[in-house]
Amino acid sequence: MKKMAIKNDIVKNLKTKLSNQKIKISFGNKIGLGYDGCGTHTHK
Amino acid sequence: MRSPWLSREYEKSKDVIVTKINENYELKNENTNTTIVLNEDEYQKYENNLFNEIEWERLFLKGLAVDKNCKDLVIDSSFDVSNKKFIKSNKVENFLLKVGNEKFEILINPELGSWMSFSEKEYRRYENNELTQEEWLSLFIRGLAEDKEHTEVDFDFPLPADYPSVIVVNITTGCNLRCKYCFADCGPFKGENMTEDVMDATIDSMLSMPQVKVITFEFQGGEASTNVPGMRKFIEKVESVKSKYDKLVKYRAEINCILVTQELIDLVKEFNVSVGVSLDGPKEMTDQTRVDINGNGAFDRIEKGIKKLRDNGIYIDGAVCTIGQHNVHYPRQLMEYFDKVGMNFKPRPVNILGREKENNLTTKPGEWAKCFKEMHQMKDEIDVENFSVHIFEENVYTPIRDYICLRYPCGAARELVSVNPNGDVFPCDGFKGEKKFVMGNVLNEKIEDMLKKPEIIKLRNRTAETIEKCSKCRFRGMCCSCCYSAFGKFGDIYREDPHCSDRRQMYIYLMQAWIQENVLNKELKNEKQSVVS
Repeated sequence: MKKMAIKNDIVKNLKTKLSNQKIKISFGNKIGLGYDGCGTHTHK
Repeated sequence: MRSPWLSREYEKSKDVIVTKINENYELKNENTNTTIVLNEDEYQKYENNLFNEIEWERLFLKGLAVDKNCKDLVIDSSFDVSNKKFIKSNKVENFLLKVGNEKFEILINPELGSWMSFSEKEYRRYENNELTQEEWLSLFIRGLAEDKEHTEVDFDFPLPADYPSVIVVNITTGCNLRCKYCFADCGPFKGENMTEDVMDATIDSMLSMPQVKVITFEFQGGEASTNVPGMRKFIEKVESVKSKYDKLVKYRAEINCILVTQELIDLVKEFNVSVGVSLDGPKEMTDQTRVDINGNGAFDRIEKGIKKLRDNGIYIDGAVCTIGQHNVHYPRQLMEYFDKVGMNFKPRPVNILGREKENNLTTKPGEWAKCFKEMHQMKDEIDVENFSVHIFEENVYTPIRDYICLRYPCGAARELVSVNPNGDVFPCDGFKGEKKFVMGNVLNEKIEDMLKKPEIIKLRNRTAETIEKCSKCRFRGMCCSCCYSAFGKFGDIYREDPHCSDRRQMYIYLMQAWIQENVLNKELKNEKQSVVS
């Protein structure tokens, strides 16, 4: 079967703000939920 | 210096103009007026898209390259990296990592799980404070260095939830199998179906929780498919009241596929119930553990059930593949089997609860790590989605922690709760056979109120610092001791994961694998490409 095309070492939608006081890196995507009780991992 | 952590997919910016000045090349963004000067070698790498993620980052943080997936970069005009006074952080640790014949020094922030690999030469420059300002900045944004003048780094990543969006509805404690490792100790003749008053109270408790917008009701057991009328009753009750609440409702069922009746098929199709199955690999493996009351293997019946679901157009989300003595030594056969049957799977070791305590099927130290490594090495060869590979790669390579069992604090009594047929609520479905962990009963109180009890607040705040061994572990930022697994093994949730030593091996292996593929193999490939071009 064809697996999902996910590159696990790349985070999509990383927002970045650089200023002298603060560097802010935020994640703009909706997070999926995965847990050990079920067979799926609804990621990305 | 190399790291997957915070790496992006970069490309050249259309706003950049290149000017050759003597032997060098100036890249200038005319909109922001920022520049960088590259020597001939650097420019050739840039021109041929051969920069690694840290070299691209150097350009990106000056507005001279773009992230293909996110254009959201704001650089305040006051920001000037040359003025920063970066220093080493006392929050980081370092260790030597061998990859093939090469040696790398790893700098890791144990709290965040961020890391950077250095060649020996680079690490000496770090030790002697000889890094460039841009190199320090790459460390700084990963929490691996500090700024003497206290510039703050804010990682705004999603936090663990405060209220559950998933409730495991154990619609019955009855089961038509008697699996040898069943953590809930379920089996034939032990059935208790959920009563309507418990259904009503559970539904009301979840749907009336104002903080949660999406609720998943996941049916488990025992074996949920032995009580299809109960599932239907529950779903119909939800459907009849859900319009009163501003919620999106989803349904899931985790079943063993022994009893795939027309009633089950109709229910799944009518209410779009997503389906997961439990399957330990090919017949010779599954039949050793997933057995009926007479000890007969269930594989043939499971396979028939899966076929029947598929023949009726039902997609199976994936399989939980419990790893133990029956299959841990056969990673290739597992990968090939799930590829052949066209099913995503999640291998995970047997937990030491319930019937497993008598049968001792779980993996011995090192076995799970070896199995994982071998499966990981086949990931590009065998085209099947292995969720464990995905989960562990994500935790080692990125700041994302959306797998709630591999993150502190874990999802127990946060993203997730579990309700038994009698209304007893547990922080996680893993505890459903353990009376000690009852949070309360839905017939007497709301789940929202149960979450406020001191002992539940303590559990919800179970971080690495509350567990002695984890608090000292350099991998704690990418890990989590499974609470019910720790309880099963040690009788105490404030202990390390029973597979702790395997986990450590897996984290180290994944770092080695990334360096091998992205540093050693790619540099070799780039060198060849440079020669050709």
